[in-house]
Amino acid sequence: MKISRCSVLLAGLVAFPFSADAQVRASEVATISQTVDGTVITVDYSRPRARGRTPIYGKVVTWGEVWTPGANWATTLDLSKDVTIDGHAIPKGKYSVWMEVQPEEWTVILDPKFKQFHIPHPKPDSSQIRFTVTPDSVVGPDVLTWSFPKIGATGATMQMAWAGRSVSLDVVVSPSNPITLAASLAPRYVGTYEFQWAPRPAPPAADSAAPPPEAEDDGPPGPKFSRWTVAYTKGMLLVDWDPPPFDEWSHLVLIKIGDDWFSPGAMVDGELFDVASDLVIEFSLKDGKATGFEIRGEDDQVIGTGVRTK
Amino acid sequence: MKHSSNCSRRHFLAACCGVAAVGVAGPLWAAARVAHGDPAHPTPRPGITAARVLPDSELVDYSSCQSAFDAIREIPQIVDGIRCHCGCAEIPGFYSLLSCYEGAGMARICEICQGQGRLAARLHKAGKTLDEIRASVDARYG
Repeated sequence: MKISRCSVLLAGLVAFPFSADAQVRASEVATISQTVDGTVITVDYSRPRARGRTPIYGKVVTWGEVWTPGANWATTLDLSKDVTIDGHAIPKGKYSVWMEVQPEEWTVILDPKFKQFHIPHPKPDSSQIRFTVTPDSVVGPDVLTWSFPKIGATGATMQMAWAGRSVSLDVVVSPSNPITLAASLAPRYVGTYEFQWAPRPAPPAADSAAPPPEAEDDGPPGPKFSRWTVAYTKGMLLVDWDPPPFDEWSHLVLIKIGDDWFSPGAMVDGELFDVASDLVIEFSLKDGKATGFEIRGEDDQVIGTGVRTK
Repeated sequence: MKHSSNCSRRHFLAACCGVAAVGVAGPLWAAARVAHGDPAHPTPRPGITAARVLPDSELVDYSSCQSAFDAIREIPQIVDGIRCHCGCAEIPGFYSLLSCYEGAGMARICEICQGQGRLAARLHKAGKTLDEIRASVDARYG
């Protein structure tokens, strides 16, 4: 971006403290934060508007310029844990974000020196992480926008879009618990179980003067009994629940959290969709083989039990 | 109460576990869950007893948690060596999981406090050591 009189003026102004709640800025400040499996990804940036300036790329942001995809102070990326971005290992920490803009490929630059004004542009440094990306053509947006348009169990797509171009970055997080299980451990759990929900306790009375509500004993969704078929497939302990209490619980992966303890993860279209970390499935073993299991809620009360039938 | 197959899991669990009691301690609980700090477990205080654990008369409106309070009264020296994972350990005056069952009685409305207490009690009954119980609590709630 060319150094305008306005930029020089702004550079001077930022040296003085001012109240953030009474400032109208051409490029208003924004923050977007996304959590994926416990990893928090935060982008802080100022949002320039195109305001009819066209083209932005090649003119306002000149070819070959090391530009921060934002305005004023450099856009920052804060990672609470190590991740990979487009396959490149990025240690946890805070970085200023820059993009070297060319007609075809752009170079993303993450600089550990995060507190930087957008000019002068940072010089190449061995501490910087650099990789190339190919921007996509999009319609708009008029206001530069960082977003997370796709979220998965293992990562997210982080996207910068402005004035007809977008850059999508594939962020992969470190799993909090691996969904795979050692092959040597699997046989003890594999088999068929008859599952039964435990009777539910009566809800607490809203008014102590009122008579206590009767315990509900008609159980959770579906029939009283259902079948769990536990199989070891592709390194995972998978459950086929028939009939399931909810559609998304037809297929579960058992995620090991302790000795014979698992958290259930819902698998949708073959991918981990949601981990119910508030539940634990505790298997009971006899002679090295599971005889059954209990599902316990966050309050450690038994919600349901399974007994091996095969 | 009948549930349709479209009932969400969280709605079901809320109904199943009776997560309805949010009283005076609610805001305290909400604030406490904000942050987890040092994960170290406390050292049980010598001579600690269950004398300050809320009596049954304070649990009239919280019948679903009574079994957790009963369990805690049996093993104050164990739960005093466990750090609560619901976040209340950040609150001044809280020392251990035992504290959740005293004073304001957060455990009356907090399922995590209740769960840790019940888990500690049944593992202790099964002959597990304090370190083994701590490890299990961390695996389950950490």
